[in-house]
Amino acid sequence: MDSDSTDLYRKVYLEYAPMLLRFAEKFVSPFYAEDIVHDVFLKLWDRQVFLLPENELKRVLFVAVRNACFDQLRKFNLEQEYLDKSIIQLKLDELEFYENAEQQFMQKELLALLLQKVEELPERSREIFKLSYLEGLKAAEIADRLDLSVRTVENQLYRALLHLRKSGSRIFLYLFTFL
Amino acid sequence: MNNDYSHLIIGYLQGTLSTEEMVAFRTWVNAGPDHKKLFFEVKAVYDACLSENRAIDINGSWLRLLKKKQQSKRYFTLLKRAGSYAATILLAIGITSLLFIWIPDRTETIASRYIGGDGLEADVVILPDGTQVSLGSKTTFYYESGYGKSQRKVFLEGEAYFEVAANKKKPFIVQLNGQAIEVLGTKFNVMAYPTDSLFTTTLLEGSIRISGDNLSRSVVLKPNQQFILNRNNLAAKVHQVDVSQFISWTSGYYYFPEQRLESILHRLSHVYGVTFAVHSEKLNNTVFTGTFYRGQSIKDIMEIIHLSVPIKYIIDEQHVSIYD
Repeated sequence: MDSDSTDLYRKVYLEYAPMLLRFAEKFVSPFYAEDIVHDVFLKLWDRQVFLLPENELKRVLFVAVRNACFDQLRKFNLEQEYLDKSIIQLKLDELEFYENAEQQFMQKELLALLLQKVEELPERSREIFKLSYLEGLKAAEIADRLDLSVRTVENQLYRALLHLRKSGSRIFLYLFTFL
Repeated sequence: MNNDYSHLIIGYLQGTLSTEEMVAFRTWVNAGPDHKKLFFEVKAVYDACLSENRAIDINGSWLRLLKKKQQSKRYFTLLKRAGSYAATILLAIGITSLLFIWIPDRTETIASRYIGGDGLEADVVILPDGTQVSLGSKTTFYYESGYGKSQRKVFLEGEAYFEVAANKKKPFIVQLNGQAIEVLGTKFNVMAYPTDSLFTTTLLEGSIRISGDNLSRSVVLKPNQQFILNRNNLAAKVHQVDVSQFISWTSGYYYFPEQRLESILHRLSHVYGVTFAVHSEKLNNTVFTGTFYRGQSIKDIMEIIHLSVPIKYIIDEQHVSIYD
């Protein structure tokens, strides 16, 4: 392997792997997610794909990772004997939901846009939201800290998510209009 | 706004639902495509926000990829050099009981590496301290050259049965992908194939502690208990079992008391390295009791199953299709 192509692969990996990993982690544990993304890169390694135009490369990578997630979930489904299958079925449905979503998902500024939207929330809602996402607190812990009922916190969190979803900003054009 | 389902959705996303609430959540989410769509959209936002506070070590991930790339190359050349005649000889002798692979230049720390074979009985590795390890089929096992200096650490992918020599000063640790099992003198079985989502540990004697990044707290097992972890959704449970059925494989027998065909075939697929496709949901859920011997061919086993249920099957080299 010459160092020029290694540099190219590295550049591509650092650019796209984070998005692919986050996508795969929606469906499988981080350990499997990395395996899936690695396998996709290893399979494509020796081809000209890494020199494809950006949009095509994104599509190739996204579709390959999505397919690998499908395969992995189906495999899990076959092995399930002790535990409930409906959890996996829900994940399979969720994967279906992301058909042709590479343009939306492989968008680097998605998160920045989302965080900008969080700033537009009412103060209390924003506070709860940040405790939940930035500090990773559960609803019950937030309720405890802010002296609110758990239900109130859950409602606020849910409303905040709905607000972000409905805000009609570019993010959700990216995420949802093509689905 | 419906309070009930906001509670269910947030609870599901945060993993705080009780068993009953989980049932309610599923009923709600499966009640119609619009519920699912709403849920997936909300989850998409939730996941995106959540990823903000969890950084990915992308450079580390790249280095691991590079290592895999170099390894796959090495194994490829190794295989090419060995050539197909080696495989033929092994088949001709009829024993592939133990493949001994030395990897002198890649990782000095690995003392030796074993790959469990397809012999009639399990391959047994005896470690320097007298600990005995029986290896299941398609199993990779190795330990570091510093084994026994301050601790006794071994690595496993696949299935193995351990009889660990007691030594309280030097803990014995089985390192799996994602899990670690810490042991004082004891007998136990581990099933952790990298391709399976389920990780299973069964304890016969002594005491073991299982820990891992994906477990919120470590689990201590008592004899005759089994721990099962689904590495995909992290559901875990501990229950009482008849341990004999989980170690009979070491003497070449596979005992299946009242198990679904699907799970029997899953087990056999590891043993024989074949894939099964059952074209009938009803058959998959049919319950069998049986004992198979490692020396039996796949055809023998299909015939035994055929005796209790009239199935049709086609064996095509490494693939078996089963019909009503």
